Amino acid sequence: MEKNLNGENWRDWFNEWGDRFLLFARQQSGSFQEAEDILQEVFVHIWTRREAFPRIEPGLVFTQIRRKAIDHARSRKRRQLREKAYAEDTEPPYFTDTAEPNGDGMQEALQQLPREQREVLVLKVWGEQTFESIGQTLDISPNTAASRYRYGLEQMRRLMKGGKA
Amino acid sequence: MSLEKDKQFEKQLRESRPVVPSPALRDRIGEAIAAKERKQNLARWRIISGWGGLAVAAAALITFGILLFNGRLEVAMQSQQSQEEVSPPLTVSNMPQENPDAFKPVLAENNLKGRIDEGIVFLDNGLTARRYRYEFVDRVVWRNPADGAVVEMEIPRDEVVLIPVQTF
Repeated sequence: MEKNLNGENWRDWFNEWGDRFLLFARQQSGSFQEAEDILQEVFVHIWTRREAFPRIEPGLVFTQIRRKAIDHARSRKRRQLREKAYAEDTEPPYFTDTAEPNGDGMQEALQQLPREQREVLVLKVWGEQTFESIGQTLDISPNTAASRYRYGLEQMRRLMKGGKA
Repeated sequence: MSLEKDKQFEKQLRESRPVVPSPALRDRIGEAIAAKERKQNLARWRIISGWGGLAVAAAALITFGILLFNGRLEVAMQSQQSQEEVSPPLTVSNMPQENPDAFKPVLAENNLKGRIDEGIVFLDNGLTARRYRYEFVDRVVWRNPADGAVVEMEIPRDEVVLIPVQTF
């Protein structure tokens, strides 16, 4: 899916893709607050340099989120300890819809996955990205992305059934 | 794990929708984008106005220079014409107040009078060349706008040009 970024349509983009971008940003960051900050910075960065990106696609935004998260991670460690306890108590859940029978355990299962598998799973399932696009976002080959995805999916199913990672 | 099972599980996962970002975050992004664009526009305007101002100043300077130059010549010519046409009697009251020695240059030219082909010459470095002599007369004219007095100076001048030639 591709869209031209012009006029005021960043809001349309945000409304359509914001939940997936935020979920991915949360996988890349240390807290919900930081994920929001990253998302804000990425949108401002892309929007104010939109001449340099004549066509914007979700994969580009996911990539920018990851890069921005790496920048944040460098400064995060200093304040991580003092924020961690507070953040864990106050962070909103990953998902809104818990109608699905195992929905309550989905976030916990996702959090227990190794990071490499978790980010691929999020990009594939909720981000609707191809393995090629995921590879570009995460700087890995499409085959590696597919492999991590299969492992992640398997682990996820086991965890949601009550197993351990 | 079969492919069909994978797809079913994928679908099951996808049914849970991620939390939607808050309207507050959307507002924050909107404000941040607007602020940054304002800043960029201001910076762009500063650059444009800076270069624009420089261009206007340069244009004004050039125009002023041209006008000044033309104006001086015009004044000198008008002064000469009016003196030729009217030439009132010279009395003590209408004696020119300017410095009588205030001559101003009105003409400077280099006139080529001729070219002489002096033929092939042999240079000290062993090369051969054809020598041309160009004869000029440089002429400079000064005029005193107060009384129309003219001073002319002519300076004869030669320029020798050597053009290398290949001999066999």
